[in-house]
Amino acid sequence: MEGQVHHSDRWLRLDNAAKIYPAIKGEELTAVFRVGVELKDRIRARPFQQAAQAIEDRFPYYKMQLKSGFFWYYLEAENLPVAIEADQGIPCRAFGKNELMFRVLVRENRISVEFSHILTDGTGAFAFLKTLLAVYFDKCGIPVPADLEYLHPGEQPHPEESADAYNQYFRKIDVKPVKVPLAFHVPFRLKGTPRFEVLKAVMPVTDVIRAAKAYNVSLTEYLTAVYLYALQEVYQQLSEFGKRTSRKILRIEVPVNLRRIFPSRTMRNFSLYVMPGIDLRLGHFTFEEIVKTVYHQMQLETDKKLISKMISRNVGGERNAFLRRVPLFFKSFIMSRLYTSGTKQYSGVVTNLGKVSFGEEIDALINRFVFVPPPPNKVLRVSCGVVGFGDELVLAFGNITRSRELERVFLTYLVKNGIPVKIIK
Amino acid sequence: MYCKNCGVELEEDMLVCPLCGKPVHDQDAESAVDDKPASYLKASLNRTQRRFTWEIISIILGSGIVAALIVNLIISKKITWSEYTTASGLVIFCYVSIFAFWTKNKLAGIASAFILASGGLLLLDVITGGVSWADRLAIPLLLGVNVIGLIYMKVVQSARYKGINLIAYAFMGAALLCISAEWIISFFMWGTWRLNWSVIVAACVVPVVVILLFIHFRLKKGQDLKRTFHV
Repeated sequence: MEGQVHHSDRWLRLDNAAKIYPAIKGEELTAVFRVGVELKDRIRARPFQQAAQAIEDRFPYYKMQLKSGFFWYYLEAENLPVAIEADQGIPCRAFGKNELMFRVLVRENRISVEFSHILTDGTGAFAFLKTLLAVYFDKCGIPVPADLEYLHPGEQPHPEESADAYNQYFRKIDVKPVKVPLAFHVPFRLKGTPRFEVLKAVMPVTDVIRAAKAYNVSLTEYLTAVYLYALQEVYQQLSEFGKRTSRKILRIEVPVNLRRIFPSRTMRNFSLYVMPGIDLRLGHFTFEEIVKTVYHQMQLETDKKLISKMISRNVGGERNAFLRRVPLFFKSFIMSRLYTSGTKQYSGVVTNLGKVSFGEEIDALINRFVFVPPPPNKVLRVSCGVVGFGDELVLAFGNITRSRELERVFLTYLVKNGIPVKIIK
Repeated sequence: MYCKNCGVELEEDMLVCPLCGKPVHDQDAESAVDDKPASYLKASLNRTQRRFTWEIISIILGSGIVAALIVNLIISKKITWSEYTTASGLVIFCYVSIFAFWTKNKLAGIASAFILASGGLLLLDVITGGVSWADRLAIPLLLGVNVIGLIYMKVVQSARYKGINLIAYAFMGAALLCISAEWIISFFMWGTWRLNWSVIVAACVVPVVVILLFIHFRLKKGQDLKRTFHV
């Protein structure tokens, strides 16, 4: 009966990946990402509202607010209704102090969910959107295929859904952190606030896969190589003085969904990253050389043992007896510095949600999906989210600068290689 | 039928879009983004209801003031104690009037009501034999009440859990009000700032506040301080 008083009898520790975000989040660096879907037909208000209400208790680990403890931040259950808003203005806005850390946005035929990375990663957000869509179609009287896998609102959440999978797969491995040389960053001037803008580009997925297959690499490896190629072009455009003073290492952070390596039902963060890159001190790289480098680095770094080592390093740091007992104020200060120095290690981000499908009957009702990564910080400045649906691949470039040069080079390269690119709103 | 704000399809019987909370008609006038979900929409009095309420309160206040003045004049042949009731009625009337017809910014409304009521008190003081108490007693007291009231409102507004913690905050406000009232009265009476009885009142309130807040947070957090101090 205690829960009757305040709905706050449940609380969760932050998972390992989430721990850094409360220390760095702000109005511009929001740590909020978006997964959106565009339907063929306009959204119907009443069934949509009913669907949102029907599913909110299925995801109790998302109905949380961030609280500061003495040593760590934590999540406390909060029984606020899910915020449904008109999708206007800037995507990935920060959440207020008294809000839940996710929202649902609607506009005509588009539904988007925005989540704080404190709560979950792209996989968790997509699972939420999938359930919302399935229930919405059901409320509209459209039969949902029985074999469609989604989290049914009638079910009790599995305990593992709210588990910290990093801790579950933590094995103590005695490793010293390797010092990584700092990477090149695009030199473009920042925009005035609000800075974050998104450019969306659509292309046929078959053409991109064909281009990737020509080099015997995956779609993610191919796009990462194109990103590195575009960064190299940006570097080449610098003045002689600019080249001398810029760093010469180009590196891309590519998040990896750990659920594919370590089985887990968790709906919270469970991803790490690999960082393929090239060193321009060795000279100019052809695209073939970039693709080859990216492929081998990603094959190596996504090895289960190396990922275990990274989990061990990250969770080990969190479990350090001294660090655990440092008060939150100091810890936040240290973490915000760590985040900045961490982002100095890579030049860009390519985060791929993968190819999504709801089965033939439901896919026929959907135009496309969009995945917008969180706003990059002032060091990184540009990032890229990728998602495939049907015969389309959608790239969303988040940018906080006044220049679109990186995107121009990236997309122009694709066009020159026989991939038609269309910019959408 | 479509919502002009978020563009979703509405049913014929919907007067308000259930998703963004915007009324279906006259949406053109509302171009600003409403960041609050529909679930938070609050019902409030419309203009006619506010005007009716104001009329009722004005009649009650007016008749009370007039009755007190007549009784005072009959008994004492001059205005003595009824000055208090008149002053109080006047202040209440000023505040009610402002809030009956001012629907925009609450803070600006309170500020306007304070200025209006201060003017009224000053006028009343002048009418009843020159400026003697309004500027050094009534207006500072009114200012104290306003400031403490505003702080309390802000605290209530920002309190996520509205339980017996609000009673505790009200006690704290009352204690502060007593201290500020004695301070103002002592200066008015003897020309010096001094505190006696209000300190005792405040000291008595402290344990009550502590107990209420303790009960509140124990109820809220259960028996578990682990969440705050987990390592």
